[in-house]
Order: sequence, then C-alpha cells, then structure tokens
Amino acid sequence: MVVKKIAFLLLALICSAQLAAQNLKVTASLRNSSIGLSDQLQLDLKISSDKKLDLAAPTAPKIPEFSYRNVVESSSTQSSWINGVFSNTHTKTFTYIYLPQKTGVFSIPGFKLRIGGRDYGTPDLRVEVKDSAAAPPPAQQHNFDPWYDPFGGVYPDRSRGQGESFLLCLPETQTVWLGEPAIVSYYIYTDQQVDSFFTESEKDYPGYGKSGHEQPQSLSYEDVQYQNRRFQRALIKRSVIYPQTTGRLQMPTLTGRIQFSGFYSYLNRNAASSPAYINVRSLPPGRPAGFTGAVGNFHVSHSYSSSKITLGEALTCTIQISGRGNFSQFTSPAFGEVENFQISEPGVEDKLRNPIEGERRIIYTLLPRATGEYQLPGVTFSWFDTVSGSYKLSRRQPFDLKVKQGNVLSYFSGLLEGDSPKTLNPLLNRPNYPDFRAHASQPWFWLVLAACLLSLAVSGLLAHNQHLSREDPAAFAQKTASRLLNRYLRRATTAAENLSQDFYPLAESGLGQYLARKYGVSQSLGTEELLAALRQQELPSTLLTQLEEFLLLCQQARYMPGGAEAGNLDAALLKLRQLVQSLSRWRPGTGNGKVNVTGQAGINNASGEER
Amino acid sequence: MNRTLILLPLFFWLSALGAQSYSDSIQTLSGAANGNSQTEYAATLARLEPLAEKGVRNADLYYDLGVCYYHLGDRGKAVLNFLRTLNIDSAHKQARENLNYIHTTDPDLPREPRQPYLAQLFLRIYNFFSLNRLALMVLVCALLNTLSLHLLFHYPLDKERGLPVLLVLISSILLLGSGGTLLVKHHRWLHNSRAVVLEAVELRAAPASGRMLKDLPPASTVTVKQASGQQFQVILPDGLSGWIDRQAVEMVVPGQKF
Repeated sequence: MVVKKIAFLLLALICSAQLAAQNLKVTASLRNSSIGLSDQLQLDLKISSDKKLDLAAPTAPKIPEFSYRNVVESSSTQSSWINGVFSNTHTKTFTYIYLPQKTGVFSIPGFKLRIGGRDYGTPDLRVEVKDSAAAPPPAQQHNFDPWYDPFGGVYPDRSRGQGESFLLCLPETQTVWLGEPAIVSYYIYTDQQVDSFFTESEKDYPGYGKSGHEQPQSLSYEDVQYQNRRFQRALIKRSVIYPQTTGRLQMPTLTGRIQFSGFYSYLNRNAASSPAYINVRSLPPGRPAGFTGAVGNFHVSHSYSSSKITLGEALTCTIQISGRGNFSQFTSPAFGEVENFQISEPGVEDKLRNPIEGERRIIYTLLPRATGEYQLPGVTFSWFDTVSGSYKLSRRQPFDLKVKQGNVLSYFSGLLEGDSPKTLNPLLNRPNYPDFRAHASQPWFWLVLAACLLSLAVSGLLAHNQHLSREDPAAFAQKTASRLLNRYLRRATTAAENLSQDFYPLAESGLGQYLARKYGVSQSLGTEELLAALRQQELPSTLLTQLEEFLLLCQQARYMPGGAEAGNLDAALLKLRQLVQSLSRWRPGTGNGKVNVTGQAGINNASGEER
Repeated sequence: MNRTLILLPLFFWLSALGAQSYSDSIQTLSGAANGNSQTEYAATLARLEPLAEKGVRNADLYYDLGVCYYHLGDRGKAVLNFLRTLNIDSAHKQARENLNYIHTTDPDLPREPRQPYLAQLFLRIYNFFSLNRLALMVLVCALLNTLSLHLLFHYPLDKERGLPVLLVLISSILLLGSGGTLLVKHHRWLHNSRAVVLEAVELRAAPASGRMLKDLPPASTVTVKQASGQQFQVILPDGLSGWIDRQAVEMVVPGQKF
C-alpha cells in the first residue's frame, strides 16, 4: 500500500514537472528606444525557462538602415523556494548590436522562434535614431534590486536624507602625449540610497576626439575614500580621449539625473560631472620618416611568408603590432617600390580587446614579375613610445628572396588571357527566344546510341559465326545443321520425336525445299533427276550417295510394305542430320576436302544433347 | 550486310548533325544595339523579363537581360544573368567577356584566383564544349567507337590487328571522357551550386550572428555549400568560407531549392 502511494506521488511529481516544463517565456526589448547616430542599438532577446536552455543565438532580425555587428550571449540561473516548492529559472539573454546608418524612426521586426516544437514570437519594436548631438542619454543605470543598500550596513545610523551624491570625472593620467589615448572614467559618489542614474547629455570641448571604452549596464558599487570621507562609488561610463592639440584640455562633462527610491524620491536631482583636465605634451622633434601617427607602447615584429617562391606565387609580408596605443588613429606605412615586384595596398586585421589594446596585423602582398634573387628592403614601422618618451623604429633586416621559374608551363602563363575587355558587348536582340532543350534529353540522342549498340550486337554475332566457321568447321556445321533442321525440317523432326510415320514424307518434302532454296533445283523432280541436277552443281559424289540413300530410305518406308518401323525413326533422323550437316558445310569450289560426311562422333553427341 | 552496318550509324550521325540546336546557328548582330538609351534598355527589359518569368530558358535571353540590367545599374542581376547564360551555353563568348568586363571594372568584387596555364587550357576546352556540343561529341565518339569495333570484328584473321585495336582504344577513351563530362555538365546545368549576391550582405563566421568576416558587395559570386534556416554557407572564389543571409543571394539555376 505504501509502495503504491509512493509510486502515485512520484507519478504526480513527474507529471507536474512535465507541466512545469512548458513554462517558457520569450521577450525582446531595446536598451534605448531612442539613440544617436553614433550610438549602438542594443536589442535584448530574453528566454526564460525552468529547464536548462541549450540554444544557439537566433538569427538577428534585419533592421532597415541598420548594420548588424555582433551578438553577445549571457545566461543566468535563479533558484527559489516558494511554498515548499523548489524551482529554478534559467534565463538566456542574447544582446544583438547594430549600428544605425540614418536618422529616422525604424521598425524592428519581432523574433520568431521554435523551441521544443512550439512557436514563440515577440512583437515588433520601434527605435528612433537622432543626430548624435541631439541624441538622448544612452542609458539608465540602476540597481537590479530596488531594496539594495549600497552601504551594506556601513552607515547604519545615518539618515538617507543627509547624505551627498555627486559625479566625478577621473582621467586615468593627468599628462599625456599628443595622440596618446587617455581613459576618462565617470563615477557617481554617494553615501545615500541611490536607485538609478540617467545619463542626459555629454558636453564636449575642443581639442580631442573620443570613443567609448566601457558602459556598465548597472551600478556596481565599491567602497572608496574621498576627501577623508567614506563613499560608495559606481562607474557610469569610461571613454577614450585622443588629444589632437597640445596644452590643457578639458574633459567632456557628463550630466544626468540621480534618482532615489521610495520615500527618498524627493531627493531626485540633476548632476554634472566635476570639471577635469589633462595636460597634453607635444611630441618631441626628430620625427622619423614614414611616421604615420602611431603613439603608444607597442611591440612590433615582421615576418615574410617564404624565402623561396615560384613565379606566379605571392609573397606576404606581415607587420604585427601589439600593445596599447591609438590603433584607430594611425595608418599603415607604405612598403615602397621594389623593382620587378607588384606590391598591393596593405590589408589590416585587428584583434583588439578594446579600442586601445590588442593586436594589429598589417599585411602586404608582393607579386614577383621576374625570376631571380632579390634582397627585399622590408617595411619600416615607426611610432612614438609613450613610456620612454622617444620615437622608435622597427625595421626588418634586408630579406633574401629567391624567385624560381615554376615549371616549363609557366612560360605560357598569360598566353590564354586575352586583353581586358574595354566595353560591354551589346544586346543580341533575337527575334525569338526558344526554350533551351539539351540534346541529351532528346529521344533521338538515345536512339542513335541504341542503334550503335544494336549494330554492334549484330556485327558481333556475324563475326562470331564467321570466326567459328573458320576455326571450328565441325562445330559450325552442327550449329548450321541444327538451324536448317529447325527451319526446313521442324515438322519432320517433331514427327520423328513422336515416333510418327509421317516423318518420311515430311523429311522428303523439307529436304526438297532446302535443296530448292540452296541449289535452285525444282521441288517436283524425281530422285534420279534431282541427283542429276545436283551433280551438275558439282556436289561431291559421297554427298550425292548419302542423299540418294536417304531418299531411297524415305521411299522404302513410304511405299514398301513393312518398310516403316518405328524403331528405325531414330536412325533415319540421324541420317537426315548428317545429310543436312554435310550439305551445309559444302561450298562450291571447296572440293570434297571440307566435307566430313562421316563425322559420326560429333554429330551423335550433338544429336544426343539436342534430344 | 557489312556495308549496311557501316552505313546505318553513318545515317544516324548525319541526322544528329542536322538536329543541332539553334545555338550553333546564332549569328552575333554586333553593334545592332549600340547606342541604346536607358529607355530602350528599360523597354527591352520589360519585353524580356516576362519571358524569363514564364520559365523560358534561353542563353541569349539571359544574355540580353544581363546587358539590360547592367546598363540600368543593377550589376548583381547582370552578373546573375550572364552566369545563367554560361550555365546553359558555356561557349557563349559575349557573356563571358561581359562577365570579365564587370569584374575588371569593379575591383571590390571577389575574383577567381589566376589559374596555371594547363588549368586555363583545360577550362577553355571544357567551356568550348557546351552541353549540346558535348552531346554531339558523345554521338560522334560513339559512332567512331562502333565503326572501329566493326572493323575489329571483321578484320581478316591473317592480318596484324594492331590498327583496329588502337582505334578501338582511342575511340573508347574519347567516348568515356566525353560521356563522363556530359554527365557532369548536365548535372551542373540542373544543379548549379553557384549563386550571386544581389544586395550587400555581411559574410559571417557562423550562421546568423557569428563574427563578421567580410562585406560582400552586390554582384559577388559565391558557391553555396549548405543551408541552415535562413542562412547559406558559401565559399568565395578566393576560398574564404562563411555564412550569409539567403535572402541576399539568388541561385544561378532559376528556382533551384537548396
């Protein structure tokens, strides 16, 4: 009984688990429904389930006038114990990043997903793209938990209304070189219960260019000391500043709205970051030739793909630049002219962790025009090193390259390549355009092939007979005789097999037909006349004797009393076969040599087999 | 009898020659359409497009469509139609020249790597033998093979048989070669995996949301390897492989499903 109850409970548990497995929620949302032309659009697709999700990123929706860049995947699991039921919620978030191409209002098509055999969809969304200057604040940063206390009990006695909250702009360094990227961080410092921060605008000042470096999605507090007071601070934004003029440059001012939760919402107010400056030093004189504006702390290496190539192959020269610096501000150095080489424009491959750190590969492709041994000068990369405060130069030692002739056929390279066409060929303007039909799909094509095969079969058969008649006349004669018997004496043979006395007249008649067809003698001739006619055809005497004997046998059987005995039919049929065989083997002009009238063994065997 | 056997294949061969397709009798009306204005190209396009939509497959029709599209500024469809022309008739000289012209004038398009001499020679021969030329070649080889076999069958036994055996060998090799090529070409005519990019699209390392590898401009030619949902895995002429949105490309064989 107890076992039954447990089984029932287990079953109920499994069923409820299965029912719960249907709980899947798909939502799509925009981080910002209004962005600037220079901002990114971040589209979040959130899929929540109580079962663990193993999903690949769904196809990014195509948004008109937006360029899709990337998708970032994150997942989280939340466990809860409610009313004695333990549950997990697995959430997978895909953040799709787009870059706007135009200003305006655009519709973002919803996602259509099929998960676990069920279809899910999200509604269409709308986004407004404005000019960058007029763009609204990019983000609202807040605590995920509205009851989160950033102080964690550090200031338990302090009233929230008495605290202080302000924004600070903190450059990473106070002095930089011209062109050296500087990181500027904006923090909110507070000892109050700040719920969220809305960035409203960012005021720029002349003398620099900037790009985003980091933008946290939530306020993440840390304990700090500031002016001998303890504060909690959270990063709002981090930017990269590229100084373009020397002197004292004021950093961008960030303004936004600090919002407090619950009872303290009356404290909500606007705030602007404190003014901050960096000093920009000019680069020292002595700029090397080929300096393309690289400023930073780099490690540079050069490499060639091969030291021996054949004519027609390409050689690649790669400069690898890694470290920290203004990657977006400098260009690739020119390779320079090398006699007998065609050098391509350099290709650039970036593997950057952020805008100022990572690795860049500059690749030059060299095509030799002639064979020989060359010394390639190697490209020079120069930069201003911010650590030592001096220009640095990386130049590869002259590189020895051997260009061989590939093979004798390479002399013909280009022989088949005509001149490049100078213009497009004109219209053909046919009066009509019939539908194309492949010959191989036409019946006549296959008929021709079938005819070829058929003619081969016939020809092969003929050739085989011809071959047989020359190589093995006895076997051929047997074969011919059998055919002739079949053709002219079928009825007589059947009668013999049935032990019928009709054999003799039928054999006589068939033989007459055969002789008439082969030798042109009349069928109405008597035996003597027939033999005389055949004698005139120069048939050998043995053959004539054999024929006479058989005809006599037939006449005896037909007209003499007791001449036709059933037991003699086999012998008579054998004689007929021998006769026909001899007749078929004999050809005018061949004499008697080839006529084997007494070829008993073979014939007996053959007749035995046939019988 | 032997004479009849020889004459019979000869008769079939002659009838096959007589049944050559219209394409062999094409005469180029060079310059007939020189100086066409945009309006004339638009009018020609309006006349020809319904034919193509009706399913008419004709090399010259696709060629004329390609020329019209090119002059009306749609390079993607121009390249697509020139490739369709070559898919039907690989010996269509004007279409090949126009394709070369487009690739020469647009350096952004991914180009085929330069082939060695022997490969170029082979490709020229392969292209010369269009589908129907190849079918006729197969018939000629079959007839030659039949005749040489007849000769071998009935060759006097007392004579040296080297010549007929050699003829049979040569004609058999030619027949097998042309027959195999015809099979390949016929299959490619029906199931060509090449496609043309009609609108700018990003080549990505993985379906839908992988790392971006390259921006493919319209008129880029790709070879489709496989499909996954709304994405195609493609290979560029330079060997680079990636995934693109299938809506942005059109297959060379009209209506071909992948």
